[in-house]
Amino acid sequence: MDEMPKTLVELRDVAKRYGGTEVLHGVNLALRDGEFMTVLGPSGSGKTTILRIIGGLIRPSGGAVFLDGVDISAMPINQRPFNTVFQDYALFPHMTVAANVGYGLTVRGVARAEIRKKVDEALHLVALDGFGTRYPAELSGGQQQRVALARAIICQPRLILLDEPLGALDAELRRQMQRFLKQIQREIRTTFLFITHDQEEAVTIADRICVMNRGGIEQIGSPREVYYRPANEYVARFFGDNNLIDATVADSGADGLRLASASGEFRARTSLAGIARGQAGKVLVRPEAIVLGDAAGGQNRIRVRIEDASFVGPVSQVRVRAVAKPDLALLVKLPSRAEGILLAPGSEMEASWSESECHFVPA
Amino acid sequence: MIRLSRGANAVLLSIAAFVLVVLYGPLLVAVFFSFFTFENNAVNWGSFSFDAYASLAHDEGIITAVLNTFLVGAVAVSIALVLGTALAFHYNGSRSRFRELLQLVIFLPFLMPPIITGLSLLVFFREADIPRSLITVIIGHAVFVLALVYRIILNRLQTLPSSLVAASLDLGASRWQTFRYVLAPALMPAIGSAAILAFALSFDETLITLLVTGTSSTLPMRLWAMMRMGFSPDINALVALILIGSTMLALLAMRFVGAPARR
Repeated sequence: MDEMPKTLVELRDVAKRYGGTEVLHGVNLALRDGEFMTVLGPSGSGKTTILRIIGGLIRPSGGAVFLDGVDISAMPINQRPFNTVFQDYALFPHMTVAANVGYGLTVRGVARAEIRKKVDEALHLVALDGFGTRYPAELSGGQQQRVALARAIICQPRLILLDEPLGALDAELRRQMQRFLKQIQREIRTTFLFITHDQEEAVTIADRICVMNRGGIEQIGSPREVYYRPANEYVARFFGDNNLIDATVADSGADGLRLASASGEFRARTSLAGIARGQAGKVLVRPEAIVLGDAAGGQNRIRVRIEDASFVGPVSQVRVRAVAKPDLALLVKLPSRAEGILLAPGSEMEASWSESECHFVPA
Repeated sequence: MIRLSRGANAVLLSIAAFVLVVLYGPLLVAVFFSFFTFENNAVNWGSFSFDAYASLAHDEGIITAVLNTFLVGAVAVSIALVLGTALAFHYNGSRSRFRELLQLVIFLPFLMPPIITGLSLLVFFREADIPRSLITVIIGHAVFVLALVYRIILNRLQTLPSSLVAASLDLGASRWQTFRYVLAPALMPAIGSAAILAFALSFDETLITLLVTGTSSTLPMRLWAMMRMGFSPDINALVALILIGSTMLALLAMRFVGAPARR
């Protein structure tokens, strides 16, 4: 990135309480102009609350929302230059597709010929040419989804909010729509804020991911950062399989970390600031980063015994246990081979991984 | 799904058929005798005529009663529709506990025996020094049918996804535009069926009308007055007309209720 991207929308210490329960506590989030951000979290993590506060459907109990640096916390929903694709699409059932898509222009009093032209353009963009005269009930789920998207983009909003819009679609259609959304986002160069609870979806589609848990933000970063450089144990466990080993920092220097554990010493890198000697935490290594075999050379090595190997499609999963410390179990993923993986249960060998594949998070 | 045995189904069916015959059979007899006369203990088959209907059309009392009935029904239903819609919106949108009390007040006149409602209205009109007339009848009917109208519209309002309103506002519509373009069309089938059912209620409401009316009478009152002098061919003709009218209203209401949401 050659220049600092502009911040479009910013949440500062935004909190939301319903009665006595706080569903969002003091959240800070800066959305960059033109980016595709997913907000990822389990249900009840506060991700939909964030979307509703930005969209103006609900008011925050504390903190403020800024657009281009201006406080818009008190701006009513119908004046915000944001549009939402709702989880249930919320298409108006008594209106045709064209009337639905043109609704935002109709209520602004735009001339009819102009509306018709823009509706045609929007329908073309979402590949629904000629569907204008149909009613929402006559469309499939994926088509309704695209109508909802066309309806949201027609007013050229600064930001499009998508509230788990792919939740109701089957897996294949879901993947298609992910590619499609990404493509449209590039085409219209608008900022997207996409809410989902699906990790794979978040990683596939986003420029940046905001990981939420229990009303707070755990980490904001690119998919790669969130996957390989998690900010804490929660994020480390949230994305896919991971190996976590208890360790304390023995030495921290410019070249990385030296970590002491019951299974020996490890070398790791960290992007986190303020990690000092004596700090306890977890060493992280992804199952696919571990190499098995005595010939393999990585800075981090443990002698392990093979427990079992199972074939699960493109990768095979191997469970191993440290010889010196049998309560340390590791999961290793290897590319599958037609003749199977020639690892006999009970045999011993070296498991190793490089320093750059190894990460440390404080407890 | 639990299925009844064949025998049980047959019993239910015969009870239904029996009720149908006992309830509505006599009406067919009335319709029959609006065309034929009964002489010397036998039907005079040669007496077929529309005379009874023709004489109805010349009976000023009947015509005024019919017009009164329609006037009262139309005005009372219109008042109830406006109030019922507003109250349904209030109930749906408010969170206060006061709304439950308000709802009870709306339902009471419908749930209480009509004689209580009629009497309390009568006492109120007398104390407030409002002379009894068609206007008091209209007020009485509006109060009575309001509960039905309110309930039907509220029902529809509560089953509408809240995201429709959110989507409309989100797209920049004002509250009024949201009502005009999104809510009103979505509520139309409910408002239509509420209007028809409320009109049917108002049409045959007798007891409250009897208590709060002045000198003018509505159709059911007129019918009641005529029947005290025995069954004449006129009454049979009137019954036939009411039967046709109310059947048509019922069919219309069913069409509205069963109509697909997007129409």
